[in-house]
Amino acid sequence: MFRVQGCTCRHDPLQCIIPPHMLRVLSIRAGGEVAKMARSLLDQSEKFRESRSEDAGTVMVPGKALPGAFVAAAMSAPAGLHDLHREIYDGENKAALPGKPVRSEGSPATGDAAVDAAYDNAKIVFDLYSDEFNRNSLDGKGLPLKATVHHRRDFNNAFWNGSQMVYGDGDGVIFRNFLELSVVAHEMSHGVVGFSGGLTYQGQSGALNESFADVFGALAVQRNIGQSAHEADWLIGKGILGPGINGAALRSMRAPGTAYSDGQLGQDPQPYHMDLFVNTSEDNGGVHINSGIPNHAFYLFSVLLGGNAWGAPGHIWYAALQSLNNPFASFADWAAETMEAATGLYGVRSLEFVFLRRAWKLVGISV
Amino acid sequence: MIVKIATSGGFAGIPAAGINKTVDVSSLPPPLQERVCRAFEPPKLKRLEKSGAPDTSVDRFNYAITVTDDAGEVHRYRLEESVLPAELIDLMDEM
Ligand SMILES: [Zn+2]
Ligand SMILES: [Zn+2]
Repeated sequence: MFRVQGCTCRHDPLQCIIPPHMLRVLSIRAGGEVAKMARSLLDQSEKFRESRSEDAGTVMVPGKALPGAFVAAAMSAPAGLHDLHREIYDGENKAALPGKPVRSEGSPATGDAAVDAAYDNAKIVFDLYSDEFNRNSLDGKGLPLKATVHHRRDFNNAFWNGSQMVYGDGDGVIFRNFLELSVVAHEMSHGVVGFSGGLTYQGQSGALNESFADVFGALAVQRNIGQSAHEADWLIGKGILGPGINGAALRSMRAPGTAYSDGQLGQDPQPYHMDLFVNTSEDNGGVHINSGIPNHAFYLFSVLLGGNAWGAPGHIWYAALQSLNNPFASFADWAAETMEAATGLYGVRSLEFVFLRRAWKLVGISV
Repeated sequence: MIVKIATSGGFAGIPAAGINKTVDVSSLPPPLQERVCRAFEPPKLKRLEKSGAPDTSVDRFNYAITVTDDAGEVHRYRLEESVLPAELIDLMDEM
């Protein structure tokens, strides 16, 4: 069980691995009970550091190939059977979609950095789903990957419109561009969610939709550069903020709420724990805000388990999405689905099962 | 006529990243003035507001449009980007 409001979670500091810098941020910026909680945890964190690191020492496992992941990979059809077909369009700073066709599958680079980044990154994401999850494009049936770049004028956004990816150029002040790999993978993963039964874009189910897109955005980056869960930065939209903006990225899965802090942009509003769940009517009920909670659970699980996050953690998340069959899923429903997926793939008392339950508990969700 | 356009949502989900502009239509060049007046007529926006087809798009902006007409009457609309015609969006970018 979990609550969406107030500080109702019993904070056992041994169980809560909130980084001290985040507690400091919270003790300063948050109001009332939250600030008080942060300060008291901060006081205790020194005291408990030793036992926490001992604890971590016993639970970390070296990044070995996981039997379940091996079997899944062995059963996959060769990637060559999946057809990659990219179509990139130039919106020419107008709103009409898709715009003018400028590059299709197999044609050479255009010299337009946005066109070529959309083309190259689409393949990296296609390969992630094909090689690791045996999925033939976003719909599983070889859907052509359509993307429009240079959408509108100074447009500070990227989106999935139900059938294609759309990228603005950014205004150069708040955003530089939207073609960084984690952003492209995020938008394409919205397509995967939509074609897998969907998650209604409102409230908790909407935040799960967002979180799945961020998780697979991070996995695309990590797999592309061969980084383990421990080595990765877990940033979404790294480097896309404008040159004058004080921030590393748009979101941080390792430390939600700390990606940026800027006079113009404000403070990264993401929570990392159910106690900090944000109730709002904006942003479809905070779908880009509360996604921080399942994002952080995935990060914690990946780090507890060690190795590559696109291994067991990615496989569990992907399997859970395929079996969910509930567009209105709450965080608790989703957490339960991932536990079932972990059981199915790795067994009921597996490390994956144990660490996953632990990760959910650390963000305030008991499964 | 004064048109105020504000968005929420989007990939970033932060208001500062969205569109936020207030345009005094009388200060626009005459040809643009006419196009804006026609495009933001209350019946047209009302119709768009009700045209909510099932929306499968994500990370798109939601628009809050406020039109204050010359009689001082205020009309408020909440529109998803997916229901806005491309020409209207282009006009918003031009204003
Ligand atoms: Zn807690
Ligand atoms: Zn999204």
